Amino acid sequence: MKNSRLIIIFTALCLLLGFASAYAEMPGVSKHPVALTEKPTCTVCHTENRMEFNHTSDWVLRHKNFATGNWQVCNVCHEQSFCSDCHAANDELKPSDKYKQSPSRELPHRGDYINQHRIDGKINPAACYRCHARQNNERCKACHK
Amino acid sequence: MRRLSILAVVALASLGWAACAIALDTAVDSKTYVQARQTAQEKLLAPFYEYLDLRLDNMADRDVSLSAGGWVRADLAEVRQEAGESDGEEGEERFDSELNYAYLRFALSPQHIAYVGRINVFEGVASEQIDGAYARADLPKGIGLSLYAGLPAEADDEEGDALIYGGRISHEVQGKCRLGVSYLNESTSGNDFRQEAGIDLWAGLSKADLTGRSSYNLESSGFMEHNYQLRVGPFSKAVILADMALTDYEHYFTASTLSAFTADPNESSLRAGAGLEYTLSDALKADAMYRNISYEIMGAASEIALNLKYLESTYSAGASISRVMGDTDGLKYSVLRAYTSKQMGPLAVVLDILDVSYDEERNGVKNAYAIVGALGYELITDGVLGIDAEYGHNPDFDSELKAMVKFTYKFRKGA
Repeated sequence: MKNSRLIIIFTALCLLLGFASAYAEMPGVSKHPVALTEKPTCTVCHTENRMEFNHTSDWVLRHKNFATGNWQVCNVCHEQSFCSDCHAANDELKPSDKYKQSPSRELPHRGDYINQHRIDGKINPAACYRCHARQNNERCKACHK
Repeated sequence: MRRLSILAVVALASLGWAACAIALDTAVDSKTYVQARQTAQEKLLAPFYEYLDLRLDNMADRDVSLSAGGWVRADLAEVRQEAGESDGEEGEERFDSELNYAYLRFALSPQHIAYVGRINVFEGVASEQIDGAYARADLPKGIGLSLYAGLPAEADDEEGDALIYGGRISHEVQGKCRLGVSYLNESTSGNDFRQEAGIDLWAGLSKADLTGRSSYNLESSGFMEHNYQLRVGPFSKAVILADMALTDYEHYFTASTLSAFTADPNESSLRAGAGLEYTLSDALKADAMYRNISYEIMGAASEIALNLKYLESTYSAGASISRVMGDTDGLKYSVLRAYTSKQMGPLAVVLDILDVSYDEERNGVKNAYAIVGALGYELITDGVLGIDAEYGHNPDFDSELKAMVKFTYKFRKGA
């Protein structure tokens, strides 16, 4: 059953790309041609059709909707390593420990979060679930067996 | 399956490198950390970490690239142990490592891309790390298609029959709106234990921006979550913010590998918030936000947060205050934070202060704080040596000092 599912899916993947490549190439880039070092406001240079990707002050809260809907646009500027800083399947160093030199970045779990998480986890466990339910929870299992 | 896919990626990459070294763009990012800290059991830890990210582009003069990244850790001082285990028992781990990603990327065009290997998939309801294959295509008329399949990376090697697959189809009117429908299936030994479907949308009018998604658990037959954010503005320099998240515990907290997420199936929560963002100048912004979480069974909670941020290319500063109020004194605290960072040529200096004040003492402590000082110096081009120290007082430590030395280096060859 598993093998037949795999075969069907991989065949579908190949057909998908083969089908898609039959269409004329549409304009686009793989990498952003201009290096960006800060939170970009895309509409400074682009027309309004890029307004959704403006990195606003609440971008960390909203970015999941764009990352899961338009990953290829994120990939123009961000490599996988950037996402792995927070969304790694298994990482021992907190993002805020790795990037103490970047205090303006919205990085979770600053300071003594072991004590604070006992409150936050009771108030809103759904917020913890998004990152730690199935991945990046080896350290959690030390206590939450 | 997993080892086979990763070995296949490595083998293909090796062949590619050998055959195509002439036209190969190489990027290597190295981040080396040595941390010193003490555990609550007064054990001195000095873990050494090496994070390495590699990318080889334009293999065989085509848009084929190899990307891989991960980390290794070696304990230089005492060996860390799992909580509850004593010296000499199983659980001592002086070395550890993790492969975060390792894949070949084939791009027929910027709109038609396939990945093979260990890859992070972000498509609709899926935010998964898989060992397998993933392809996406942007077609004319604003249609997008994606498919993925493989082993979930968190599955043990002994779970040989684990399988995850899914896909997403979307339609977009560029600059106006986008609607996506996605599906995910995860099974073990042929038994489906996780089936999720979802819709995700973005709608942009001239002054309004609505985004969010709703996800449905097909195994338990119920909606998991409706999560949406709205931005309205700007009106002069102000933007109105609003967000809501409706979560049904019976259908949301399923398929977790952590016992902490065992939830009352009769519970649900509604989190709603509103706020204002104001642009004081090109570099200075302020925002205020209020959120309330109400529960079917548990008591309600609310949060107020005020932020001020100044951000320029060589200087940043910020201050924030937030108040979290659960339904008991034990679930109430306030947070104050202030930071500043300055880049002066090759030298960077950071000061970051965080203070958490609990309404109810925790282990005899009402006030926990952390003071961070960091220095960075660009020793060589793209090579920065840094050191940071964090001094803290919290319910676990009267006086805690952590330090870290780090060296980051970026190597680029080719385009």
